[in-house]
Amino acid sequence: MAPKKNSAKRPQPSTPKPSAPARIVKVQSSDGHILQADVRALLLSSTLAATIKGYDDENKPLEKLEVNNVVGFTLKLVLEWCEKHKEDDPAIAQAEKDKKNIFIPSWDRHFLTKLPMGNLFDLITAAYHLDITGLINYGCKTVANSAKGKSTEEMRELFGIPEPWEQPSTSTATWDD
Amino acid sequence: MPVVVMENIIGLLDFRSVLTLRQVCRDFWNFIDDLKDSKLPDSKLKGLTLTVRKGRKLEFKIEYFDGSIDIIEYMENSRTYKEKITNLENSNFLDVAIQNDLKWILKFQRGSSDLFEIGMDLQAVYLRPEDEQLYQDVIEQLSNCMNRKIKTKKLQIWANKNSEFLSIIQIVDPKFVVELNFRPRFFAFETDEISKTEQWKMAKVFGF
Repeated sequence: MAPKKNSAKRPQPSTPKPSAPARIVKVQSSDGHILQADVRALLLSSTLAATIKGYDDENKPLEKLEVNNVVGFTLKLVLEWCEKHKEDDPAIAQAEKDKKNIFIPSWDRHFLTKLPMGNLFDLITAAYHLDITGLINYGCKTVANSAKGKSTEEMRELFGIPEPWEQPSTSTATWDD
Repeated sequence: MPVVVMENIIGLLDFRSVLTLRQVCRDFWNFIDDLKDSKLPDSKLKGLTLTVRKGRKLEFKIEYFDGSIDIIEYMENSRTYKEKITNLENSNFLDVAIQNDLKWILKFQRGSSDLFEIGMDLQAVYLRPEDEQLYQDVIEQLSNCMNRKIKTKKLQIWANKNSEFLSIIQIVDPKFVVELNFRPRFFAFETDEISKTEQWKMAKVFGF
């Protein structure tokens, strides 16, 4: 018997659908960089989706969205990720939210692991502020994968902690330190 | 990084990596200590055996459902794990074992283990008075210092008197107990007091 594909557990890759022409808006970072993005990509952020809905409900023209807590470099990464995932079903990310075994598709794995850890932390933090569940899931899983099996010294380097510290004198840490 | 994000990352680690992360800096140390147990990963603890050995040694054998085993040996001033010897300096090794390490082992326990056992090695008859004293001290520490009930299906205890059985049985969570095994050493086992405990009432299998 041919092996069954366990497709239910894995997010399906983005499949292009016949769709309306892209609606492009400007997005401004906290340090004044102005980028452009497809509204469908921005809707992956619950925070930005609410703002966009507010404009649409009032029939106000949406020319520029301001993202006050994300700098330009990080915002560019956020928008690149959202552009790649703009066709995704948001229910997949929600379903993975509290799971331990998150499968990271190859494009995301490459995108996230090529980043220096500091940039990855900034990206996850931005995803948190903008409420982008899928990016939070994949980002956190990437950090966890990088940290697993590392020694204290390697973890210190990974998390950018400069100096060893003196543990409380009453403590003897744990057996697995 | 936001607290929720850090909690998320910790929840995706294995428990050993969380213990390592705790050593990295004061902020991680405090953060992990303050985390609710439900935010920590499950160690998938299958069995825990505490054994007193000749020469005032205490051994923890920790088995996991994935088949891996950790063995930690404690003795005066030192702890040995995977051939790494930690000098405990002025700390009492029993305090380290019971109040620190056992606390952390149990902090990562989500479901019930199959076995919790407290005993002496097979050569127990040759234990010296100081080893016997250590065994009593282990029982006393366990009964006085455990701030959480141990979740196990089977409890096996070696003891020198009925009161030791009574002390230990009460550190086990009665909701999970299925089997109780009592191994009295050189005395007549009595059920008068023990049979009044919730743990006894909930158990289905008894061994003497």
